[in-house]
Amino acid sequence: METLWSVRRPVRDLRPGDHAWLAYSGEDEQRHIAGAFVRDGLLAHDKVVYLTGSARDAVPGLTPDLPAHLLTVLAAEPPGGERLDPRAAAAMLAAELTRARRAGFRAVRLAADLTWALGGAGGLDPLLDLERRLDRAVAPSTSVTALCQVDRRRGRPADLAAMRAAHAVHATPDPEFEDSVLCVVRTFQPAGLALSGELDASRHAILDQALAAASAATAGDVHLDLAGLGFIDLGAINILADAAARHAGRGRIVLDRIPAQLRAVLETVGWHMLPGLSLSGPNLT
Amino acid sequence: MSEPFTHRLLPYDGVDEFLAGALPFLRDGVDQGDRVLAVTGVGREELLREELGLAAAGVEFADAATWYGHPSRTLADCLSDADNTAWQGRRLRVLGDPVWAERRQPLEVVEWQRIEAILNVAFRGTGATILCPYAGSLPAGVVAAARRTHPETVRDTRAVPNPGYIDPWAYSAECDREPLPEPPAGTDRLRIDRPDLYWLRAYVSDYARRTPLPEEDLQRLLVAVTEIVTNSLRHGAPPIALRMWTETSGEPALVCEVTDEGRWPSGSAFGLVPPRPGATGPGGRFGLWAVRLLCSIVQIRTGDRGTTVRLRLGLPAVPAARVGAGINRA
Repeated sequence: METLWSVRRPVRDLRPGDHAWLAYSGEDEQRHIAGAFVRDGLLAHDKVVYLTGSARDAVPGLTPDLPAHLLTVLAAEPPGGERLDPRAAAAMLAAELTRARRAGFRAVRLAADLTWALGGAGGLDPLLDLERRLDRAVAPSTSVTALCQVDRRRGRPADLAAMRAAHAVHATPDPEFEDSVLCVVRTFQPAGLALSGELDASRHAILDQALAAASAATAGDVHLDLAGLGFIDLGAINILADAAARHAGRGRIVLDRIPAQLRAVLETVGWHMLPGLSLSGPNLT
Repeated sequence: MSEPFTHRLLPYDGVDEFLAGALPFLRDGVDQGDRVLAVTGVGREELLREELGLAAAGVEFADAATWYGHPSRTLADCLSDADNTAWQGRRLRVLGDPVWAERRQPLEVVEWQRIEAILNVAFRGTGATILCPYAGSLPAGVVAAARRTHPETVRDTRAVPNPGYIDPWAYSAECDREPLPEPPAGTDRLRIDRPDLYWLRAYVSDYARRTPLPEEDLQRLLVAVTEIVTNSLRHGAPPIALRMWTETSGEPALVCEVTDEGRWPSGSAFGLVPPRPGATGPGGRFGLWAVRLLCSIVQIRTGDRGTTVRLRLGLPAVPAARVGAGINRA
């Protein structure tokens, strides 16, 4: 399968027929994206089927007072380290989908954490076989949405690329905020926010809030990806400087991929006025 | 710093009088271990180096044409030099030859004269010492204005109080006494009545792109306009309106004017005094000051008849025909 036609889609916009991919870099990112996928399903009273290695693995996104019939956790790792049996795993999922349909569920969310299978006996082939079977079952469906995840720290780059290529949709975090002018999305590697659109006084409170959340969630530097930002006003620059001052004990606020015209404005104000803010990457000349 | 800040006028006629005032000032600085900066033209630098002899090694020379680049920027940079030098336990000593008085457009000369006054406020407590030599050959008004912006005059190497000196804010207010000329007839007036300024920026961009304004300056203009309109929305009174036009007489400029019915409180610093890093609390710290840095010239009039802020950005010199074609709004 080729990735040329793969699309990136916020997790809230995944829809039946999507067989989506998420390579997370930590628990925080998994909770943020896969957790949202599970939680949104449970809150909508859809059936959620969570496939994982062992029944002891934590399921992200659980809701309080969860009605038991909404969630089924399937443990797919064969005991004793045998190789993954893709046919058996697919059959187990198919049976669960049939049960859900018979129970009258309109929609089913299938979330699979396949990290355990990455280093398994038999290598990548059984995993890719399982993905092909999943794709055949999900792609034509009008009721099933699937999200496959792995911890990218546990996979070899070539394996991750092959797995990624087996998915037409790549799940991205739901924006912290989005309207016709501004979009704010959490990022996880590096940790921080991606800002796109335009930032002025009508959205200062949103920026302030998002920065506070990113700062609280981040032990080191907070990175702001500004590649998509077309405008930033002086008030927002002040807010960045204030956030940098508050985060100073733990790290800097690093501005990544800042467009040249925004950089010219910051330089006019002067970096000495903006302690705690720094530029990164190829922009640092 | 135990030394008080001083800002002195050295009126002179001819090279001998210039040297008689400037040389002791520079030599004293070298002797006392000051950081000594001589801002002057190339010809004067040669002359001073020759006369100073070995002491010239203790003097930094800066080309006045570059050093006096932009009134607010020059003030901020020099102030930051003064702060840093004081922090090292030394004194900043500047000989500032006002070359701007000879060449610049009247609008810009007013802003440099205003800076001469405001620096008396801005440099307080820095311990810096500034000597400004004004040639008698300068236009009479320039020397007369200098007598009002320098607390002291040097006469026969002695500093004496300047009887003409007035309060810097009073001087600055005088600079703004003249009403602004009317915008050109037929200039469109855009009413601003919603807080979302996205569309305002689109309007300003569309207009500016029909002028030779460079893309980087457009971004500066957008930031400046957004700041002024945000201030009007927060503190001013409706109606708020925007007008834009280009001026081709004198220094070619794109002008962007924001008006509202409000009146700024008395005692406003109009963004003239550079904020010190870390010295102020959060919120609106460098708004209006940054607007001055982003534009070539900012003109403000506020009173009973409302407030007008004009942001001027210099336009690169292009053949007049192209400017005309670019801005024809008919």
